[in-house]
Amino acid sequence: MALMAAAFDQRVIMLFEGDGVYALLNKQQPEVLGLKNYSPLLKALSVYDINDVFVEQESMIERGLHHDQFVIDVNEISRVELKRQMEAADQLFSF
Amino acid sequence: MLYIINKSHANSQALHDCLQRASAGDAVLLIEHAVYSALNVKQTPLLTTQHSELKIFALSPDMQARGVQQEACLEFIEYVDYQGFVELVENNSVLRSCF
Repeated sequence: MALMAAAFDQRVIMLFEGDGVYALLNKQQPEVLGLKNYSPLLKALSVYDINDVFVEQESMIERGLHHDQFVIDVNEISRVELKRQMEAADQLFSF
Repeated sequence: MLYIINKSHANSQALHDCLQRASAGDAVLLIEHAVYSALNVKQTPLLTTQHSELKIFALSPDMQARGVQQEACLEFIEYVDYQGFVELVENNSVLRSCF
């Protein structure tokens, strides 16, 4: 969805919060369950000009996660700042 | 009794509730998103079970799929595959799914 929007020249910002931050973990092998691995897609975001990837610090702290466990470089922002990013958007899609 | 948990402790009360009720000899099996709770971080409620008579199991394929590696998990966690899952079900007369 994000890649599609970006392909149509929309500015895309990706925000990760709650259990969603686990999606960034490296060394995932969803193929074991017959599922698609989205990690390569995350690595391709910059190719699609999606450079604004933010992760809520509070969600990381609650889960004891560190950014060096993630598959891509991300910007860590506070819960308040994440909310501000959402409010600044024209459209918001939740997954 | 075998408790089966499928949500992470950060997103659900299920694991907390189960640990408050589980007693010696019971087993807890972490599947799906609950495998994140096996990670060795100070936020996981499983730390309190370290010296208890509870047995904590995690489903390996669900860990692999999510990038949760055994080296990063609490050392007292035991790992099962689907065969082990079935054996746990066979060996426990009462099954409680906390979904």
